[in-house]
Amino acid sequence: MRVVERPGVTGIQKFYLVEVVKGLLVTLGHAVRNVLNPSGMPVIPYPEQKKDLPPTTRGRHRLMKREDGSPRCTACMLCATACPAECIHILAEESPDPKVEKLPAKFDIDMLRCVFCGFCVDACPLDAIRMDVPEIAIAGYTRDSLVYGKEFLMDHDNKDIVPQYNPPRPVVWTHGPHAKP
Amino acid sequence: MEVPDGANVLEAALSNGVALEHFCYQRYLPVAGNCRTCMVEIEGPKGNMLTIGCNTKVAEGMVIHTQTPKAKQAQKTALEFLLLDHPLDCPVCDKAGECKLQNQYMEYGLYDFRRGVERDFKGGKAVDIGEHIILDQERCVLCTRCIRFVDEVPKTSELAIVNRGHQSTISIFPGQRVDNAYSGNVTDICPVGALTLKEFRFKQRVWFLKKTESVCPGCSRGCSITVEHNKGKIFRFMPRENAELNKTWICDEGRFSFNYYQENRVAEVRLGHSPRSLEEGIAELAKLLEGISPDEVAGIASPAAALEDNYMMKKLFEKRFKAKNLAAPFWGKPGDEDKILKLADKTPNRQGLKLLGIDTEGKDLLERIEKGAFKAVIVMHNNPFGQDEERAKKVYGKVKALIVLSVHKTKVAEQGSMLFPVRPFTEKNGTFVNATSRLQRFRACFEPENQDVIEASLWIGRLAKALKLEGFAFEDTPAVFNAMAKEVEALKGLTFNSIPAEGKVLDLAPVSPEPFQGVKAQPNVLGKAKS
Amino acid sequence: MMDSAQLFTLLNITVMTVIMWLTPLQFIPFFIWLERKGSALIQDRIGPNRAEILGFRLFGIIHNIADVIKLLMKENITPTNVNRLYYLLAPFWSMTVSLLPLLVIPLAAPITVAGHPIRFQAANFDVGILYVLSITSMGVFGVILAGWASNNKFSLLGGLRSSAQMISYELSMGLAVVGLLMVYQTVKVDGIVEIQGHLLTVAGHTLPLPNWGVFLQPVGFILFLIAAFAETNRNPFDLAEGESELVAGYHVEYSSVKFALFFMAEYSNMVAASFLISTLFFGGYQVPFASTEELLQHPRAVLTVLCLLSAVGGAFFGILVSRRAEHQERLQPGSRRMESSFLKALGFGKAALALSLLACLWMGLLPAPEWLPGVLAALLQTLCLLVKVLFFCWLFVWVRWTLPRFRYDQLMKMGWKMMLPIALLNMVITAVVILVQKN
Repeated sequence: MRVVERPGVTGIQKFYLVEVVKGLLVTLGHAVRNVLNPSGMPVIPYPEQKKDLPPTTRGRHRLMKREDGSPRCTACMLCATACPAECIHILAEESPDPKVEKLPAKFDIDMLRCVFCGFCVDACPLDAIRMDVPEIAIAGYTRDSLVYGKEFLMDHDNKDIVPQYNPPRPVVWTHGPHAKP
Repeated sequence: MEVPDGANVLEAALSNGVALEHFCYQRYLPVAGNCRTCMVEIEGPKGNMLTIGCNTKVAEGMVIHTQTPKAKQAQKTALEFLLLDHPLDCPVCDKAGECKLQNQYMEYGLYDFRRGVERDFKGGKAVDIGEHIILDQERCVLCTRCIRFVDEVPKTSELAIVNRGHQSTISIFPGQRVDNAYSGNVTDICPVGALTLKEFRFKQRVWFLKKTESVCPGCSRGCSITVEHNKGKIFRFMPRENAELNKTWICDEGRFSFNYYQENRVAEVRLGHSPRSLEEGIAELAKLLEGISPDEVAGIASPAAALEDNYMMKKLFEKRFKAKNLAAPFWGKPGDEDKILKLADKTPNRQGLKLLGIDTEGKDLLERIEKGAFKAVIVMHNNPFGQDEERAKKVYGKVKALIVLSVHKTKVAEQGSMLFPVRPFTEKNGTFVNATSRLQRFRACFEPENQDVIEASLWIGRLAKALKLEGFAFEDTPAVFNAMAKEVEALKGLTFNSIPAEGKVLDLAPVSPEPFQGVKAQPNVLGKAKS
Repeated sequence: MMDSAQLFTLLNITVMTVIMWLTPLQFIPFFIWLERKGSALIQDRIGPNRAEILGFRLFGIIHNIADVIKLLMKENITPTNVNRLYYLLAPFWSMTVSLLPLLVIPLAAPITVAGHPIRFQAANFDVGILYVLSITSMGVFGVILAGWASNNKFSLLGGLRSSAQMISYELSMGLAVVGLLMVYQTVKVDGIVEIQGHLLTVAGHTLPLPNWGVFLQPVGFILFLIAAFAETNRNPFDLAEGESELVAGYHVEYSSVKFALFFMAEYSNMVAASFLISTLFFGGYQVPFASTEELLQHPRAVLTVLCLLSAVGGAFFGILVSRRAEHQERLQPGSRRMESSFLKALGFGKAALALSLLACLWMGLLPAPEWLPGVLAALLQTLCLLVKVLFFCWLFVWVRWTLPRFRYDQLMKMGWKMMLPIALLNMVITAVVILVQKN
């Protein structure tokens, strides 16, 4: 173990203004360079360009289906119980198949309340809910449009989602401490 | 430890805070001893002996071990046997959360699954066996609690075990469905998810439910119940154990009345046809009453209202109007009655009116109203002219102002010139006195959404304030009760919070016999240790 | 009955008052844009650039219009338990007070046009700079009222902090100015600016430096600058609204237009502070090394300078736009071409126009009316003042995005234990030096 001393303030640094001016010069350097060379900024113009999502991304929910297309969910409410944001609202109904017993008549996820913790996925005993749809920017014009219902959550081909992943383009810093010569 | 004579070992343990695994034993049902999970080790002359606790009476000098390795192993083995072919679909099962088997496994089991061969499920899912009941034979562990119940309490004996060995299942006799008046109780005592209620099945997971101590207002028996609710919605009434009154049973009529209290409700204060806020409504009512001579105001209290509501009504009429102009007639036709719990009088608080000295017949008052002697009539939780609509219409035509405090949109509520919504018993605090003169307390489950819906007793307090009367300012209903207890002889020394959970029998002549006439309702001696 | 000269003076004052009231209001959107864009550039970001009108984004300046619309359309909430009068008064007070100090700032030296003297100063009080100090010290009432009347503990804390801070730093500010006044021997603002038009003379030697306050009173300048930051509640002294501790400080309960007023008052204060610093320490409207008389004598040179500045500015702007356009083209081919071409044309067109004007001037094609030298001098001087003010506006932004916020004890320690003694010392030394020089 190595104890690292805090550098402390010494000598000329105690005269705060000198350090202030040094700091100001650093920020001014950034500002001037960015004005003269906008391409040097390590930014992605977001809605037009998007970063690839890594395969472990926790995205929007979906409800998995049985082979016959009925929901795998049996409305056991464990996800709703585990949910810390209380964003899952389920109404159960009797299933026509007595072996299944129970079906969700309504399965609403209020995305405005969801905190994307993934507890629902962990809680599910039937792997019926997954958070692997690679959508991370969820937006809508009305509150109602962001309460996702059963039909919407089941609108997929029931296959495993493996996002195409290209490692991010390495950021090339043209200036600053990480600049490559 | 010293326990009452005749108590069994399990009862002695449970009643005195010693945890012991048990399953088929139900305090108010005869011992069957078929689950074998309440194994204890009893010291004897031939060395320690394993035996079941429920079927062993406590004797002088008996030394019982519940936690020895041997006893624990026996308990665990019995549990493992019960779970051998029990399906492990707890997330789907509606009992999960209040399932005895689930709880016991978490408490005493926690073993690794040892069955080497495929599980052998019996089948028989979701069998409709009665008006209210669904049977799942696969989940049944054959504890026979339900069979013992239908044999002993309603004595209708619809259920039995059929077949032999591992194929034994609970079933009904052909054509004889479980439709007795107490059938709902079998689902309460079923320790697993084998018997479920159609009315509750899949409606709500039990761990979401909040439980509030209450009293069934369905008849003058006033059984102790628990109201189970979540987010302002009531999901079921469950019997609350009261050894002195309803044991752990209630009738189906009371059990399934829970929807009645949340349907067809009066939503807002109305004067004529225009909605008002409570503030405005009371101000206008006070103005109206001030313009009427105190002799010309009649009051209709109610045996369906809480003791506090009636007390406030009486107080209002004593101080502001004439006490003789207050009565509590009730339209209620006598209902069906049996020797177990149900009583013919379908009002929960007629004894309470007697306690307060309010006339429960009120024929004279009704006649005077009919003759047009009153300009204003205040009707609280009541419908004095019952189903006789013609007469009611005629009478109310003669009254200048009919002020109605009502929970539901009843006929009289529609006819009222001023209508104030009040809370049903599930949303307020209060007390009822039942037919056997037992004072019982119920508590509010939740606040109604509309804050203008207030308790009738507090409504009278607000009105009294608007009429500039002193002594009506109570913060809440418990405060009303505490004030009332100081004035009423039979309630002396009681406060709202000191009423025992099982109620208190008042010094007042009972009007009905005790429940469970001719029923062996107490087969086991309750084993609470003498202190 | 007024004669025409008096009437003209009245008109002059009225117009100047309106101009000096509108100046900070014009500065505010620009300042906000500068803040957003400046912070972005300092942090290697692009900054706001999404709001657009007909495809024109103008480097994000359209966002100000969006902001105004947003603030006006928002629900104007008045919380239930506030002290209504003071709660509503506070933002108006803040805004009003923040607009007042500029009235005494001269934009240019007085000139005479067609026999009429024109002053570029709205109010020439005899109390001069003291008026500014008294007005700025009233600004704290807005903050305290808002903090107290909101009936919210966060805003109350913000108001308390702010009042303590302003009182602490007002002292140093006043004392820093005292040193300056001793040197200038006047409190009138136009007098202060006039003196700064000469060259610096130390012990009989004329130095190649303008006679600016910053050279005469370097310590006083630093003290004044720091105090000005503290007075405007600006980072690193923005403890009054320290969002990490107080949510938003004194204006946490304000919304919509009322919040906008606070927001604008804050920026308007900074504009006023920039004007004040420029005027007191950087020669105000004085063009360095060119006194007003010289400017009036050489109108041709003045026009040349103006044209050259305009040409260089236009060309620089055009080059910047084309560089951004290249960048944009790489990110998203084909997007934003129209705006770029338009802005490029604007910049280069302006440069070309200025150059052709310059050519005309040298070929003697321009008429030279009698009032031209005065107007040109005033134009150049106003421009010079604006450049100085813009620099200090940028300094406010620049410092904010460089320095972290002080801790409250550090703030108090600095105010009372460092600034105040130094200011007193500065004052005493200045006095001694002046005495020695006089004898």
